[in-house]
Amino acid sequence: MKIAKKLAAVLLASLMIVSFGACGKKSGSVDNYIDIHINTEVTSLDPQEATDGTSFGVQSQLIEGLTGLDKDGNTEGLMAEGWNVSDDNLTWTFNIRKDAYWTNGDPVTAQDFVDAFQTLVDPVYNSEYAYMGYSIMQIKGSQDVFDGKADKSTLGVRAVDEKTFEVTLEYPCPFMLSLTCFNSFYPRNQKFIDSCGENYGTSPETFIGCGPFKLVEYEPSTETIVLDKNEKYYNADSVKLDGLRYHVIKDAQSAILAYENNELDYAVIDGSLVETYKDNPEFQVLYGSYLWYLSLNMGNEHTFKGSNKNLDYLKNLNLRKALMRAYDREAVANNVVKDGSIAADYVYPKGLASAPDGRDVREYVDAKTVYADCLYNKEEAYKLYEAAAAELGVTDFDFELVVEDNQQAQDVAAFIQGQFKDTFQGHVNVHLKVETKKARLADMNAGNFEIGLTRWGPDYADPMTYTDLWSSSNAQVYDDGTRSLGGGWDVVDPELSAEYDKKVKACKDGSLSIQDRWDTMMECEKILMENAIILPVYQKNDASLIKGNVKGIEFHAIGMPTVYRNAYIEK
Amino acid sequence: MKKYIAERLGTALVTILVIIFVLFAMMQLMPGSPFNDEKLSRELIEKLNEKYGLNQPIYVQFFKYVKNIAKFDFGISYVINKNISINLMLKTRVPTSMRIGLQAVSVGAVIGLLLGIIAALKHNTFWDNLTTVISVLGVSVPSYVFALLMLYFFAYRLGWFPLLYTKTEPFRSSLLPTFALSMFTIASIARFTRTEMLEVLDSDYMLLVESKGISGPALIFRHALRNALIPIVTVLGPLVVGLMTGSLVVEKIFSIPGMGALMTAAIQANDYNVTIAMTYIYSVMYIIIMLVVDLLYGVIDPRIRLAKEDSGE
Amino acid sequence: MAREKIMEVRDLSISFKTTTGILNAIRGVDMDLYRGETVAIVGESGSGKSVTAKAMMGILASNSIVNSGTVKFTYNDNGGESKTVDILKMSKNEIRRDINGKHIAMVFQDPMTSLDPTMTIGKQITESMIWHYKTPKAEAEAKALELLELVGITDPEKRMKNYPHQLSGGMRQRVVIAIAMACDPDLLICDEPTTALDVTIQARILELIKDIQVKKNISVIYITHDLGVVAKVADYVDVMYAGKLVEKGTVDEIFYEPRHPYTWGLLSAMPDLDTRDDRLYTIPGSPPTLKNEIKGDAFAPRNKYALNIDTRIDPPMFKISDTHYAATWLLDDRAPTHDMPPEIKGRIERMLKEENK
Repeated sequence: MKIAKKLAAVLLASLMIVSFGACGKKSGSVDNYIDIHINTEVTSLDPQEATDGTSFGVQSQLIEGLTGLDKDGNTEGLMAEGWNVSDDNLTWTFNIRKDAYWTNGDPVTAQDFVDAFQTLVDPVYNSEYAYMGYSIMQIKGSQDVFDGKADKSTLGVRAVDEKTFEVTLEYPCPFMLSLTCFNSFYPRNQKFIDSCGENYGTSPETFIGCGPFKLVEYEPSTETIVLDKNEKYYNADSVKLDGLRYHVIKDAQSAILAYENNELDYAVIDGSLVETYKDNPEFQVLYGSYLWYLSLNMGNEHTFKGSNKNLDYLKNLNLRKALMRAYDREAVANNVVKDGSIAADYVYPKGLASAPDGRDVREYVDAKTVYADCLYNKEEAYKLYEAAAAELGVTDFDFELVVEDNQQAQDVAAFIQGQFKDTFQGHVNVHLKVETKKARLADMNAGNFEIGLTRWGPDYADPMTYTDLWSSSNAQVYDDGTRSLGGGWDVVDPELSAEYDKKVKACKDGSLSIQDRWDTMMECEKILMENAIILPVYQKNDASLIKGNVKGIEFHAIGMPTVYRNAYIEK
Repeated sequence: MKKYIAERLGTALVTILVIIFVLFAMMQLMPGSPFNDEKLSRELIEKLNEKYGLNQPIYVQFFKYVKNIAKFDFGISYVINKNISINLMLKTRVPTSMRIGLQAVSVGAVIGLLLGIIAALKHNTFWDNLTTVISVLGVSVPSYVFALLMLYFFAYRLGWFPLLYTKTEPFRSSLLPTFALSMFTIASIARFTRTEMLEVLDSDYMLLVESKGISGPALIFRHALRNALIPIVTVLGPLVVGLMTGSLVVEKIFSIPGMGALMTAAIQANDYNVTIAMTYIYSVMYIIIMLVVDLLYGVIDPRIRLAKEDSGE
Repeated sequence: MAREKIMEVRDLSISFKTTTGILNAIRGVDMDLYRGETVAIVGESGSGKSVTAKAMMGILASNSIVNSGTVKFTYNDNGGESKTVDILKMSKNEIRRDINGKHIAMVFQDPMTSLDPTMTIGKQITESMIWHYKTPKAEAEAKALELLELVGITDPEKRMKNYPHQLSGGMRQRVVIAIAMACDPDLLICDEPTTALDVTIQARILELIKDIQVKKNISVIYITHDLGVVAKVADYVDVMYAGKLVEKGTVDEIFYEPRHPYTWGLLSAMPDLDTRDDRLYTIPGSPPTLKNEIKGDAFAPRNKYALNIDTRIDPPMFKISDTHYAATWLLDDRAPTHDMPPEIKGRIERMLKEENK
């Protein structure tokens, strides 16, 4: 089947190359709708319920939060036309737009946000993204509400008046306005939602929005979702499209045919087709959200019966650095993954956030120069290995690398396996343990692994979404002595880990200026890289094709849905 | 015949009960939980298990499950469509898959039978060889390739059909998937029909019928095909189930919101309720169709229908 | 009353295309049949007797080639006018429409397999009446009941609704005969009609066919290798060997005055209660393969009386009486006289004694 698929892809690609010259179809959108390709179904239209990018993307055309991103990625007010923050940086006051209305004519009120924030951390509702409220934004009282120790009415949110929404935090949150862009903090018209009962969000009649577009065709896990321009939108005059149509197409080849046939204006393409299209003027790479990296287990020996020497070996800095420099990340991205992904010689992905001076994080800190000691280098890696071997008194290493059963992850793992063998002349081997994703996560969460190929996607446009992952406060110690997967390197170097924790805390409590906070986060990355706490592999990007006459789509790489409200079709 | 039907029905019911039990046992034995995102903490997973009743004692879960499944109430989806009733998700998917499946079965059976009959009647001629080639292609080339080629030529190059399935044109946009799906059926039915027809045509009773002066369609359909059908029905049964429950591959290529696509999504996402619902529906459909096949046997073959009666002289 | 000839076969020669080459199944057969009379075609398997019958029925297999010959069949058409046709010149459709079932019907060897398992007995009998004559269903069913009674099936109403598998072998053969008689044919061809049946049932079926023949005044052709059957039913006997007729005559001539060494062999091989030999006589050797051109007399290699000429020239039919002919050089004036072998003589004497008892 796999061979057949590859064959079919090659066949199709060659057919298309032959035919493009011949059939001369005119390219471009045919009506005033943008036809958008999505490759998974929308799982939920309820902003507090959804957890996946596709759902977030559709929701954000239908509902708007307090803030959003403009075309340059700067925060701007959407439902909030203005805001204030108290001197202690703990109390935020948002003024809701006077002309903001729900599609049923109800005004958008402060209470809608109170309901939304309360729902998010309500243990009865039990949103999978509740941690956005209690762990990231850290709304006052949120942890107790979520733990069921306090009623949700005690949460630090309130409607000062109909159009004034106030939220109080436990700690200052420097990226508050970036967080309020996120779907989990979208408003809820609770009255309407209650009237729908369990049918909420299952049809245009049982859905309500306040965004630039309104839902006209939808049913659960449907293949086509149609959105029309929302005339009740406060800024309806600026919306030039008649609407959007989302098409769920899971097969990459079908999607490409549909795109070539002008049935799609925007198609996501997968690795097998990138080669064919990468020189096409309509080809675009969107900086994707996920950082794939090798997670090293340095501190979870509790879960292993007896002792596991391998985990002790990974405590050795030279060995970790040897591993860090032993595989060619460029080759992984360009020869193995081949879908527009790029090599990651860093922790904070390209496009994640902009520094206070406006430069992208990866321009602000150029990994190639700053982390030159971490780059792929066979000779250096071997020297590091020799040093580690001398220190540990061991010459041959054999680690287990756990990898999930999707093809791309397996290909990457197999490539790295080969590179280790090559670089260390057979002295360092890994053997792959292929598991389902859920088994891999379960094993890694329980600390039951040595090295794991894993990924992390950001929750908000701030480096902290990564930095925090490796603070020891994030390494929860469970009853059985195991730790969660992110942290746990305090057992390797307690002093350094404590210093790291201190920096993270400083970034979160508002004690630093914006510039200092930014620089502190950069220092944190440097600690992670230079100590090879994690071994980054690649940044997953999405390759796509967009018709030439479709203009004004605003892409926001990291965790932020694409914005269509200013898009238009050139006639 | 009554006894025969009662027997079959009884077997079917017992099978369904066994399946209900096995399904439950399997879900219990499956590792992991439906909630597996890097971002979920252990506490949150525990809370989610609690929310969906996954932490209750097994027997409580089992009785709840049997009670609901008997009513065809599959509960809500945990993952694929969060908190949405599975019945609502199935409302359009089941009919869509079944309709396209039925179309494919009908097309496949009719064309397959015709090809098989022609091949047998024109044994060792061009037509026979052509049918053999079609059969070999149909059986060995995956439907993925057929689907893509059809999509490319008939939808993209010639523009005769819509590229992707659309609810606004359910019939026209289901034609290509129907044909892509039916290729395998056409091929296997044609091959089977040819063999069976050749055997029947070569039989003594066909010689007797011919010696009675019967010819043409009466000879072929009333006598030959009817006898050849008995084994053909056997292979058709499982094919029907396979097609009606939706083909994963064809549904994926033509973007058909059907059962096949949902089943894969459910398994991948570990969405217990949806997986159980789909497996249950598959099984029930399979059993119903096998029941129909059994009954068809009875209709076609009096030896089965009247097995219990005595023979004379 | 003058004998009315209904079947006249002349110089019939048929080959089969097989994967290993051409097989010359019949090589110049002449045969005649008159109304109301019975001819038995006797021979080993592969002698071409079944092919001859199938040629008369127009149901030759698709790989057959008719090299030469005519099969002239005379019957009364719907208007009652006498009509003679050459079956070999008719198309398959014409034969099905005008001849099969209507005027020539056939009874096959194995009743266990010659009935359609998925159709009731009643329908199988009425089918050809409705097909050929558009007989109303009720009328056809009434006639089918009569026929079932005629062939000696008890409780015919019930049997009409039965399927073949509910009937025993003997009953099935009766049903096959009923089917054959459905359209009152002029000629009934019985291809080894009793071989597959129990000995006790064999006799009953033969008697049944004989009864029907008398009642309906039809002609019957028996195809058999069993001389016992021939003795019981035939008026005339045609002995075939390797696709040729080697001896023909009345049943008495063949049984009491056989002239061809092959016929002698056949008679010796017939089981006989009084045979003193412990072992049954068998003709040595086996029939020739018909794939190669046969030079001379095909039986010569197995014939201990073979003359030199037998290996070179195929013998013509020598006339012994108006009805008795045999193809053997032994009958040539120049041939040394050979008496019948003594064991045959003894056997014939015994048969005669039996007859006269």
